[in-house]
Amino acid sequence: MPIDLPVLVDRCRAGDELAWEAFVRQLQGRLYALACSYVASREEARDVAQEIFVRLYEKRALWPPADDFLPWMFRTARNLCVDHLRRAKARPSGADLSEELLAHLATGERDPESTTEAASARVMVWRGLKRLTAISREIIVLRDIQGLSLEEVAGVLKIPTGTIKSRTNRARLELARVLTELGMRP
Amino acid sequence: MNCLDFLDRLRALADGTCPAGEREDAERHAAACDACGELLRDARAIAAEREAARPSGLDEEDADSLVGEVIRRTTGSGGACSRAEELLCELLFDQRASDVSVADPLLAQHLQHCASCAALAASLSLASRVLPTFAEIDPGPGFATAVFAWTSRAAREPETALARLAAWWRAWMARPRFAFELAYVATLVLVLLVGNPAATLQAASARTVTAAAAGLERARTAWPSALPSLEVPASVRALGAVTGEVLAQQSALGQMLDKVMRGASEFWSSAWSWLNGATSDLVSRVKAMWRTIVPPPPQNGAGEPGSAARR
Repeated sequence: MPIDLPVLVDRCRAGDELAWEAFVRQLQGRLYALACSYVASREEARDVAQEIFVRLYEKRALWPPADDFLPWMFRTARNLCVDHLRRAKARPSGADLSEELLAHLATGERDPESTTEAASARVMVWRGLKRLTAISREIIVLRDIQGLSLEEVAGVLKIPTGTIKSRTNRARLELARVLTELGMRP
Repeated sequence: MNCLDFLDRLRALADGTCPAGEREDAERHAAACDACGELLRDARAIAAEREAARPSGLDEEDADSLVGEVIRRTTGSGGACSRAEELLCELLFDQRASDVSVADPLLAQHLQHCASCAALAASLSLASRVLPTFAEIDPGPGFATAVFAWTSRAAREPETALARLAAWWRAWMARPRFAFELAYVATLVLVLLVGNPAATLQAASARTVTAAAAGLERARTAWPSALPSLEVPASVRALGAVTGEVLAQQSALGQMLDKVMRGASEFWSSAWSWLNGATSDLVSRVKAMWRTIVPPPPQNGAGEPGSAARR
C-alpha cells in the first residue's frame, strides 16, 4: 500500500532509513520510466535510475519541502539523464531503440492481462515518442506521463510557463502525426 | 379523392412536384377535410424551411464545397482545423474526455467533414489513453536491493574532503569537452613559453644542450682520468648536429617572423598616421564648408530663445 509522499519525504529528510526504503520501493517505477525515456536500453536505464537514487540519498538533507519535492526530484533526475547522455557522447535516443525494452513495454507488466492489441499500441506509442524532438519528448514525459502541472514542467525544464503551454499542444500534435504516419489505428 | 389518396400525394404536394390535375383534386379535398388541410399546411411549412436552409440550386455535395470555399475565403482553410486541434488536445489530455463528440458538438461536426482532423483525433485519443501507462515501468527484481546496497555503503563511508575532491575530478574528467579544454590550455602554455620571439624559454632546448655540452667539456678537462668513458658516441654526435641544425633553422625562422612583425607594425603605424591626418583634413574641410552654408549666429543674443520677448 503506497504511503503518502509528503510523509515519506519528511521522514527521509530526517534520516529515517525505513522511510528511505519505502521511498525507493514506491518511486522506483517512476524514476526508471523517466530514465527509459532518455536512454536506449533497459540496463542503461537501470544504471541511470540507480544513480538518481544514490544522488537523492546523498542530498536527502537538502530535499525541498514535500509540496515542491516532485518537480525538484524530476529536475535532478533529468539532469542526471542528460549528463549520462553527454558522457555516452550524446547518442541520439531512438536510433538504438532496444528491442528488449520494447518487449518489456509490450508485456505491460502492470497489466498482465493486456491484450495483444493493447501491447502493440503501447509499443507503437513508445516508438512514436522516441521519434519526437528532444524537447517535445521531455514535455510529454513530464506533463502527460508523469502528470506534472504546466508550472512544474516549466520549472524542471527552466522554460517560461507560457512557452511550455504552447509547446505542450505542439508536442501532442507532433506525436499524433507521428502515430498517424506509423499507421496507428485505435 | 379520399384521405388515403390524399396522404399518398402529400409529399409531392408539399414539394410542388404533383401533377396539375391531381393537385387540384387534392387541394379540393384538403379544403373540405380539416385534418388533411392541416397536414398539407404543415408539410408545406416544413418543405419551405428545408428549402430556406439549403442554398438554392445546390445538392449536398455542392453545399459542402460551398462551405469549404467560404471558409477558405474568410477564416482560411486552417482556421477551423487549428481550433479543432487545440480543442482536441484540451479535451483529450487536460479534461480527459472519453468522447469528444459528446463534449463538443461543434468539434464533432468538424470531425465528420475533415478527414485529416478525424485521423489526428484518433491518434490523439489513443496517445491520451496509452501515455499514462508509461508513468511507471517495473525495473525488475533486484533493483531496490541494488539501490539499498549503494546507499548503505555511502552511509557507512563518511565522505571526506579528499573523496569529494576525487569525485569532482572524476566527474570533471568524464566530461566530453575535457580533452579539448586540456589541448587548448596546453597549446596556450606552449605558445606563451616557447612559441614567440619574446618568450622567456625561447630556444631553451638549444641553450640546455649547449650548457650541457660545455659542462661535459669542463668536466673532461678537469678530470680527464675520472671520465674516460664519457666519450660521446658518433650516433649521438650526429643527432646533436641534426638538432643543432634544426634549432638554427628555428632561430632563423624566428628572426624572419620577427622581421615580418616589425614590418607589419611599421606599416600599421604609418597607415594609422596617414588615416589620422586624412581624417583631420576632411573634418576641417567639412567645417569650413558648413560655415559657408550656415553663417554663425549674431553675437547680441537675438537668436536665443525668449530674446524677442525680452525685447
